[in-house]
Amino acid sequence: MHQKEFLSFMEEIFEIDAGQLREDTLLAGLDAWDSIGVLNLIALADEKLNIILSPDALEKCKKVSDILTLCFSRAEE
Amino acid sequence: MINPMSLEGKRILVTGASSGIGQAIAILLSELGANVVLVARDQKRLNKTLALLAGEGHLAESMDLALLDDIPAWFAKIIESFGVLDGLVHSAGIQYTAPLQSIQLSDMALMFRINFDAAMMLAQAFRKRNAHNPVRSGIVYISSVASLSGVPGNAAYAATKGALTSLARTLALELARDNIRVNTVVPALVRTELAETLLTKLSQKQREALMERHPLGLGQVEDVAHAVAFLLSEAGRWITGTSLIVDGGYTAQ
Repeated sequence: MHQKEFLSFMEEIFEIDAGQLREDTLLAGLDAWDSIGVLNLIALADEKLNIILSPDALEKCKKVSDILTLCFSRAEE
Repeated sequence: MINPMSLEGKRILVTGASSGIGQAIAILLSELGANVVLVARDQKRLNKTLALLAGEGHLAESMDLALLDDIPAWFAKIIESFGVLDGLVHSAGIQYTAPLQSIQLSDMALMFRINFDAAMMLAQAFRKRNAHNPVRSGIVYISSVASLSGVPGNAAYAATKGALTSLARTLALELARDNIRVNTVVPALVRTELAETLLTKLSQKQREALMERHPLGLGQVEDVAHAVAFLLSEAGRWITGTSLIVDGGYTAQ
């Protein structure tokens, strides 16, 4: 799966309009980025990329690009 | 010396017997003198459990409990070769973590199938004449404190485990005339493979909070096994339709 496609799935789980989520979007500015949001993202990465993201690693993410790095460096392993 | 927890000569079927709580239950029941039918999907892993049992006269029967339609004939075959059962323990269970908006229907259906539907089908097969000991027998379901106390991301699993409690209460009444007692054991977090998988999905902070919710610390599989043995033994002969909470104080708060 391409990063762009995954980004659109992220927009869906964070319930923001299509095209609004960019790589430099700050996670702290997203209403849905809380403990449930983290669980939703873990479920998404598990389903779409078949990887289990660590909540500790996700908590360190500041920007959307940090999440993508986490997902796609792991997915390519 | 009498031992009211003795299970000498009792025949008991245990699902989920290849690992975790189910395996510990099978081992303890055998140590208390029972002959055990071990049930799980993987025959190789079952054989490993079989090697850990005390005494002789046990059976390892691989079965995918998701194949609900096959349970009646398969169960009848076991009775034919192994003999009438004194007990049934449904410990097989699966858990997926997902908040409401991420729950997949297929994951939810599979959880219900293994955790709950199979419990019902097994009880139906156990109740049949000549399948259970008509003088005294028992069914124990392994539920979870998830059914009593919410944890985000665990709704479907919690519901399957709550369903077991409701099932046990009703069957206790229906099956009293057959001298079959039906109870649940309700554990909090016990160190098993399933629990380790769950823990990896939590952050350090969440893990610490979860530990703090267990005043006596996380449980060992044997802690649950002891409760199951108690309910199946003579010591539990007047107990039916109840839930035995074994949780290190988790629900005391």
